Amino acid sequence: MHEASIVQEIIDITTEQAKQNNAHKILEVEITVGAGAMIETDLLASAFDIMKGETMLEEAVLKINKVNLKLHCLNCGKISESDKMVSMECPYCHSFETIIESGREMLINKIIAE
Amino acid sequence: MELKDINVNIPILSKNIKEGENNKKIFESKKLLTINLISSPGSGKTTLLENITPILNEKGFSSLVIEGDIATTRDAERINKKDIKCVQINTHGICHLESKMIRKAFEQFNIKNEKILFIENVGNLVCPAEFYLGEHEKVAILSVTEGEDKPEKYPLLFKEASCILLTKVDLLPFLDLSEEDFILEIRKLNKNSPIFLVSKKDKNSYHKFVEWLIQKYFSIFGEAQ
Ligand SMILES: [Zn+2]
Repeated sequence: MHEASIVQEIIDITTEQAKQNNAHKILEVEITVGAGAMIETDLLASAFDIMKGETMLEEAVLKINKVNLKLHCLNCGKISESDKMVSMECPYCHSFETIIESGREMLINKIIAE
Repeated sequence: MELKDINVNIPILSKNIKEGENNKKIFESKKLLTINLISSPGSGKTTLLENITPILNEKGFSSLVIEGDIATTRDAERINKKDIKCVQINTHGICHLESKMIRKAFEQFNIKNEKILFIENVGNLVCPAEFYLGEHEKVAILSVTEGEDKPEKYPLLFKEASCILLTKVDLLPFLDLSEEDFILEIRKLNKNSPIFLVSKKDKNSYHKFVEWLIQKYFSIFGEAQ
């Protein structure tokens, strides 16, 4: 799984942002992870705790906002939500002709630093 | 100390996407069609490359291979035996390739007039689909021994692939499945991308995929070369 790579990116991006704002210590990182982003948030949290050592994020808390995957069915027009990326099947009409409306995002929302 | 609330709003993988776009510019300046091959381990990516690169060579489309592997160099050794320029990336346990790894590997090539760059991604259906490398096309590879329910379990890759290869089809008679079973499952997710059936027992089975690659090349770089 690629959780470690994701954590490295989080550390790099937030460190850069903190420096640009003349901060030297990051206390909190808030991110959003969609259910369709193929990320295990538990693994992400443990990777974060291991990798933050000896960085500006050493004391930082990771807050993860999970958002559902939203599928738009092209067959029946309904929108369904799921907290897992399991299938592209519409639960109402069982069509696979669906498009992902949202829920694949992986975003750093904000940090609290000092 | 004063606390600062800093709005960031940056996608976590934005750097990889930017580096991927940069890779693509480099590939296009060298007129290289770039193909990202994604599959489970053991689905026959290396066998595929061993079989199609000689055919492509004969047609004037010599190729380069970047070989991603978690720990070994065995696949690269196999490819090198075929006189194809191949650079190995050992990811040291990482389950996917990233744009900056591709950039570094690519710098090691001594490029002559090759026309296609294959990136053999690490054997894994989940993570590689999330990391853009600057490729023109994503190709998904599924061997019949993995079962027909694989696409439904890993829908994103099969939905986004611009071509799907079903490999080891010579083993179908030994399985309780037909090619129609696989095609049905893939078509649920992907209505339009071509599906090619290949087998190392039948060298002719590779020709349709080779033709597809050549057509892609011409559609990007034009006919008159
Ligand atoms: Zn529906």
